[in-house]
Amino acid sequence: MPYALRSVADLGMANLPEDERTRWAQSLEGHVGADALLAMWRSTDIAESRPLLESTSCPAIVLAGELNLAIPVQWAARVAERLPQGRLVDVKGAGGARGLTHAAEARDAILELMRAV
Amino acid sequence: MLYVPAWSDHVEEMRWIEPLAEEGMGIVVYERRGTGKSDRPAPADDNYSVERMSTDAIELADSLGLERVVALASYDGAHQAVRFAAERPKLIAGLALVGPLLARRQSRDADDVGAPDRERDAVRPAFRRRPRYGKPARR
Repeated sequence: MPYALRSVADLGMANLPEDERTRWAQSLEGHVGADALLAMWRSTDIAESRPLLESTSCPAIVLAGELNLAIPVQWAARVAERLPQGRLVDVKGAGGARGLTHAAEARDAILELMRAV
Repeated sequence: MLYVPAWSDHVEEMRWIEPLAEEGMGIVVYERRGTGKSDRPAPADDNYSVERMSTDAIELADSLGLERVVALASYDGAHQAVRFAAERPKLIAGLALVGPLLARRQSRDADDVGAPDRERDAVRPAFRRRPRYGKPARR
């Protein structure tokens, strides 16, 4: 299996058992080319979008997972601070795949935002 | 609402947002260039730049005639959502960023993030096992 696919699975699903991560990584084969994934990866490596945070004017929420290895809560908190109308939502016990493992919490926070705008 | 995908997201993985649709919201999902049924440009870096993929999102919204949307993005999809919101403030009514990655070099930016390595070390024991696949993860 291409290294890129395994790495993405590892990042996104660090708090899930290895067999689940493997199954997920395998589901990506054919769906995305490893070369395209690596090109995205290289682009993201040099991109910097943080200065644009202050240029936004809309209400914003930033969901963080306290067990997210890829994006520590501190990073998410800093993003929320830089958004003029940002609010941090720390989902306790969630990892990188919080949309899958903590769907209810993620959904409620998003619904609240939708009602507010 | 416009769901801006991350990395390799495919529509099957976007199922977790279905409950939002059940609340009566219209949700647009798409597969990013290079993934799923979308076009697959040659894997040159210019074809997959953050700017290029941000333009894709904006062009998609325009082609669908969307007038006001909340952008939902996770991980590196946040690059697209934030650029979209900054560029087209009238179109983006709200931003929902799920574990946003806005700069890969965040981790070296002590001023910005405090002490990420220590934080990471603190949560690591929470995982039973963290296998490595050949090469170490890029930081």
